[in-house]
Amino acid sequence: MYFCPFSAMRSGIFAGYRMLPLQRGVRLGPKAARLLYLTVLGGLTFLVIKSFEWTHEIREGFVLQSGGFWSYYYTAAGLHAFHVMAGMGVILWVANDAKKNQELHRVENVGIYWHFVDIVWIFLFPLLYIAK
Amino acid sequence: MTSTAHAPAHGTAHGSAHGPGDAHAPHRNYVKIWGILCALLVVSVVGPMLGIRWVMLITAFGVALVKAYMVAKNFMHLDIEKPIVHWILLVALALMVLLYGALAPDVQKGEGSGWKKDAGFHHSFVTSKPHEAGKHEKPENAEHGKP
Repeated sequence: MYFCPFSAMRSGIFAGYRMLPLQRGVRLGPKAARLLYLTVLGGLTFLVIKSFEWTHEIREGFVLQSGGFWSYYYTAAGLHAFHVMAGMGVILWVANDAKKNQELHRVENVGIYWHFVDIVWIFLFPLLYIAK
Repeated sequence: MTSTAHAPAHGTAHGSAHGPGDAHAPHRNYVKIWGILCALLVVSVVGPMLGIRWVMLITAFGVALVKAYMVAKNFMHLDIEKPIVHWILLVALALMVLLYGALAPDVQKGEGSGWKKDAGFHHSFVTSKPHEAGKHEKPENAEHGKP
């Protein structure tokens, strides 16, 4: 479970680096695209870990109706996962354009969205896994 | 948004004179920032293990605030945005606190001035089917059975 924020942050750092090719004043769309693909890989890692975690919890008998905490846990983490999946789709779209040096302004926009989702997880993590 | 718009070769990536793509944007060491975030993560995990309530609150949620600030400042480039963006963010945060403050008493308290939750409230909070009470409930330590 503690690997989750690492995967989220790992994808976050690639998303952070996404602007470097643009900041250097050179059209390095392909490089930005590669970093965006790595970001998607980080998101995918997060989703795989979540799927294993949920499978384990459900097999243990902890389901959505098992109590207030579990209701909150599945709803919050599930909604977060949906946002991650949506972000991954949009990032792939933007990366494909960036590869051709097109629509590079979208790189920053999608990055802001991705980091917003990251910030949500920063607060969900202690609420779901640490606070007792 | 035009379909063929390209980022300018110099200056901005999205057209703002002070945008993140500004050639004069502050240099950021993203690896260093990531390292700090990882270190803070360790603090937020280890701190609550001490079992002291105020330490847990500070290390878990206080550190989360710091991490969120770092991500917003460095990765979302909030520090080079226009002041109005900061104000919008502050208003959103204030509304969030207001929402929590308005809802929390109803959720967390069992009774108040002139009202009291009926017995079925907490019952239904535990299980979706009252006649199946206890069926899904875990043992006493279930609360610590968080993932």
